[in-house]
Amino acid sequence: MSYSGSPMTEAMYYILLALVNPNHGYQLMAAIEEVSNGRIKMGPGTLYGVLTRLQKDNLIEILNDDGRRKTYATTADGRAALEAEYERLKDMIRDGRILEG
Amino acid sequence: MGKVVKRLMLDDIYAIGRNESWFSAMASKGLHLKKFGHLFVSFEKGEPKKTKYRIDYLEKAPSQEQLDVYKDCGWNFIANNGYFYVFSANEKSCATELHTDPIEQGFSLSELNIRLRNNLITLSIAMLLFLGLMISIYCFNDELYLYMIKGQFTQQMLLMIVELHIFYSAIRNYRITRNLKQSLLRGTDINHNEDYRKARLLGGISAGIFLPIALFSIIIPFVGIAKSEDYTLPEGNTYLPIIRLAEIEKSPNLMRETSYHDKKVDWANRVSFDWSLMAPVQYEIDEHGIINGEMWGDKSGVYSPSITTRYYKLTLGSMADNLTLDLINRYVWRDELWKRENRGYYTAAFPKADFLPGRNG
Repeated sequence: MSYSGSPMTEAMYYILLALVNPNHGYQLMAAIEEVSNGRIKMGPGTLYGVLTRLQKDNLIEILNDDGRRKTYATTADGRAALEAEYERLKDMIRDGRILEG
Repeated sequence: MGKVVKRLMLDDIYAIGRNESWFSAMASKGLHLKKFGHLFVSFEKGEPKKTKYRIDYLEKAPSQEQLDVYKDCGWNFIANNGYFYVFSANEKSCATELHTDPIEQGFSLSELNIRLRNNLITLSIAMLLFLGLMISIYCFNDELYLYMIKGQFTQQMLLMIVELHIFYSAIRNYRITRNLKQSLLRGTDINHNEDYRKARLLGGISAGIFLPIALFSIIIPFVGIAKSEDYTLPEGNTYLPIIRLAEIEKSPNLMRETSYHDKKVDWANRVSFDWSLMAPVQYEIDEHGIINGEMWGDKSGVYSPSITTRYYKLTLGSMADNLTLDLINRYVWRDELWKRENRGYYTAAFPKADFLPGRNG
């Protein structure tokens, strides 16, 4: 299912976010845990499922593949999608402020 | 390595939760999954262990790096069947769940769902063509009963039952995958402890019915080929159900005349035996002779009579009358006027039709 600008899943958002700094599968899970302040422990099935999908949709690319490990990075399209999603989330947070009043 | 135990794969491979639950139940009995095929699943005997299994749908074979990451998270690759990869983890280990996002897992099943839908469409078209062919064979056949007693009929019927079953399985698998995808997209996780007993029982019953039918429909033509034989009709006494030429001609000068003759069989004086489920004894017997010194009525040559006998022993006696009409239609030449005048004659003439001598020439 290709990405059409609809709300991202949490997994997709955090993988795109973590791959702003190129990384490989091994460290990606740790990076996601770190970038989400320990809130998200992503399963390896989900991780590779999302990586496959994002690659197909050209939102991430493989920077380097030495046969043993692949280094992934967010593409320009991926970054644009991420920023759009970030704006959407910011709007949502802003709209939700009435709950604090 | 422990003893390998095989079990039939009675459930659908697409029923992910049920199969995971079955593998876990087997592991708790000391049977640990080794191989995962379409027909059989192999287990290795060992100590009973509480094991979690997860079936992951991967369109691309996982890289070593991917398998290493899975392993680091506590998931060992066990076996795969096509795109379905099975991983296991010790129940006590605190392995991170393989899939932590049902919606993403739902996306991963989308392509499978599309493929199964396309398969179903192709299969539906094939089924329609097949059914159309069957209907046209049976509805527009002038000699339906003659066709039915020949070998292909039973095989075609059995094959149709098997094909309808395959078609139903394709519909069921498409529905299983579609429902699973939809429930994942709604955010509901796969139930890894889904009850598998009922589905396996039903699968067992249907395999018990349809595997023998499929096997039987494959064997039938071979039995037919094995039982069929051609040989030269002996000149002396036979115990065959026929009237001999000599009994009709009653001429001491009657001699056998041979014609086309290959290594074994004189085709003018031959016995052909065939077998089918609907008519387990079928003879087609030709005899040809010559009476030197006698001429045909029109003086066209030496009198050389022939006789052909077709004998059928039917499984269902009630088919006899209609078969008789078909045989007349096929082998007895009449002009249209004769047919109109004698309509109904043959049903009265051959009330019991399991013995049918016919005369040519």
